[in-house]
Amino acid sequence: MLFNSIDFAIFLPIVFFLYWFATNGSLRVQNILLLISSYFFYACWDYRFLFLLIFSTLLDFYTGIKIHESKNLASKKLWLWISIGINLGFLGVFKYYNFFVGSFADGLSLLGFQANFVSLKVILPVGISFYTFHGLSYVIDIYKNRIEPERNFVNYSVFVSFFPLLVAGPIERATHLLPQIIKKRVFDYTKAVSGLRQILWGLFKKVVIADNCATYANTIFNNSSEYSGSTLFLGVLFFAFQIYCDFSGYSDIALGTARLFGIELLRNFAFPYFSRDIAEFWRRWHISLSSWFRDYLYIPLGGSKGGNWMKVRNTFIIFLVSGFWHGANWTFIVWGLLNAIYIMPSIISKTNRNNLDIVASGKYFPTLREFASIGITFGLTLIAWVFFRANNLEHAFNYLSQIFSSTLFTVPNFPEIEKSIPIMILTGIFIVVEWLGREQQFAIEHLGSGWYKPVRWTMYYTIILVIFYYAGHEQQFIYFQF
Amino acid sequence: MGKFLSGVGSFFVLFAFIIFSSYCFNIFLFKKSNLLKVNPSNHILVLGDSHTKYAINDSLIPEVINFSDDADSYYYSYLKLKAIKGKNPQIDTLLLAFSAHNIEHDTEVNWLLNSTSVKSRFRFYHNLMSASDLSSLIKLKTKDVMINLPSILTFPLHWLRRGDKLYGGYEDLEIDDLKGAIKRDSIKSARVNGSGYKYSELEIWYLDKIRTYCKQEGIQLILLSTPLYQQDRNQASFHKFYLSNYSETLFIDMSKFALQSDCFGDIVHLNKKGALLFSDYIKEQGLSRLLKR
Repeated sequence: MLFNSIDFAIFLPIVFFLYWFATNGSLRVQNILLLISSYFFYACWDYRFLFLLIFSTLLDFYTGIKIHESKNLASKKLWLWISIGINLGFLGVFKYYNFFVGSFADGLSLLGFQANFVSLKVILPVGISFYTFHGLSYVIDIYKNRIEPERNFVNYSVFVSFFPLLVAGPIERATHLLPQIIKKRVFDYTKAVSGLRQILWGLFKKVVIADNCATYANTIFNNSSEYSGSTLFLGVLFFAFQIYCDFSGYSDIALGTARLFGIELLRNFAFPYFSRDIAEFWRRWHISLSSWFRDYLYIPLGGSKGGNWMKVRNTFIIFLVSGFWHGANWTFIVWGLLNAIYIMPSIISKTNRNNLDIVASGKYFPTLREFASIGITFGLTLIAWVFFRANNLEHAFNYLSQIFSSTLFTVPNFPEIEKSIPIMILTGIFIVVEWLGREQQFAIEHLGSGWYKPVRWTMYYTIILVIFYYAGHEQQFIYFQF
Repeated sequence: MGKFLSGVGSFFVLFAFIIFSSYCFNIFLFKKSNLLKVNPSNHILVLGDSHTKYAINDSLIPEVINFSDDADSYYYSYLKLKAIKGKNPQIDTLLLAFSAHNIEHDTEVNWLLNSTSVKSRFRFYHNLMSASDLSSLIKLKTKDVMINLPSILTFPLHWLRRGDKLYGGYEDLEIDDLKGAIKRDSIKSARVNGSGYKYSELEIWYLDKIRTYCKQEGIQLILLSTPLYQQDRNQASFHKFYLSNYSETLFIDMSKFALQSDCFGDIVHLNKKGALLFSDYIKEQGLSRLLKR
């Protein structure tokens, strides 16, 4: 069930009405309803993997209690590693087994040995990377005595499976979400309206910008050998806005939907393309994953406490793991590595926390220096996106070498270029709206809130009109594959 | 909660009202406009899919007007036929694309029942639909029609963007993909080898409706197969179907019309050069001589 589908448009109001009107305000009944709805939502993808989700939930629920009840450290550690081992084991089998086996066989063949390993013909259970990380953060937090285990299985299951975040995050923390699940929720008009606005903005990003940019990005990437450097550059631009609007659009819909149920999820994007350096970019892009890696990998590895060498090593580990988390492909690993290289100068020179504020806060325009910094950061990100999008490393290197050729200074041309012009214009408008709203949680959070009602509604209707006008090129949300 | 529900409720009620008003406005706009109104000298109408769209250059044949469009199901041809005849009483002949794939089951699935097809067409075909046309589409694709109701609002924008080509019309086919198409077809042939030719009940039903409408309105219906570089693998079954069901309807089979390979954009579509030669041939021969042929 896609967020941008009629099924979800029917599902959401039904759950909303049952949640607020049929539960008689009982928290227990509300949570049971949320759990059933979430399992139904997940089963619409593939009911077979529902059992895996339930098993994973049971595992972490049980091991969480055992960790807490263990009298000695060895026993605590044992239960922690059982949970981590099984969770990562599932992830390994479903997501990485074929990659490891294939890479190992390739390695052997380079040494002159022929090996035929059995590859698994399994599909990747949707959302596995996300709910596995939910569970892991929960047991690690219990092990670190940051939280007490949840004794109510329904409450814990809602934390893992809450449908807005189930298939593509944000990756929640027990410390943030569980207290909201066990506390009585009261309907809040302002939050609900804000949720609807965020859903609308998320749909605009996904349906209008992401899905249409995807069409042109696919055309250019899939036939990259036929195009000039300038066209390939345009292709990466399309992809950059596709992936941003696809994922942040999804996150907006997830956050907005959760808010309708009185639940606040973690913010996942904070206008990353307006970042002035790569460190700032990573504080603004897929925030819930970046902070997860920071808290559960970077800091346990020693973080930045052991001097420059330790920082460099840990940063590389974080980015490599992050790349690998995105998918079992060398392109993702190189993408992670490249970002680690980008961020390294600021790590070594200790300038990685220079830009903690919002660019040009309170002003309409950035300074020339800020503008140049944003441009350079965006340019570096574009190079990395080529690896993220390419079919394999050879494709990525060829793509980049074609961009950096004399044909970069020609007029871009591909079969659908005329059709793509309205999308380019809309993307331009989108960037302006995002820039103007960059100090808010999402770009249109307060846009028009002080306007006369008919004018404000006209803005909503216009956005809806544009969504329907450009609908028709639905693509799966990119992050579902991770 | 009450404030929220009344706000959301009134937002959507107003939205529904806007959609309904827009629907009425679009119908009014269509009736008052020159959309689908053709030159009084055009009395031969061409309808169908991309085969006829790219094959018949109506600017070369004074009597002919072509409103074929890519992937046009007979359902949409039927809607256009009624609308065009309504605005142009002089139409007395209909040349309708008729090849093996037009009555194949896959066509029904991909061109009529496909959600993308409903989405891309409902927004500007809704004002050609009578109540019964609309209800038959709703019966077939309830969910898709419902979700596409708001797209009615976008009709004027589509009209502005596409102008006279909103409902199809001849266009030069610029692609040059004959070799690639031959390769793809051979792969497809190998894959479907042995599987039977399955007729589309829905497409045939709408073809029958077109035939009945033509009879009622005194329009001569002529089925037309345009030149093919390579004959359809189901040609024999297709001819058998024609002979047993439509033998009394006139049929010009030009699928074997001799053209060089540089006249084809792919194996089933004529390119600009092919359309020029083929349209010239039709003009020179005239329909009556073509029928005798």
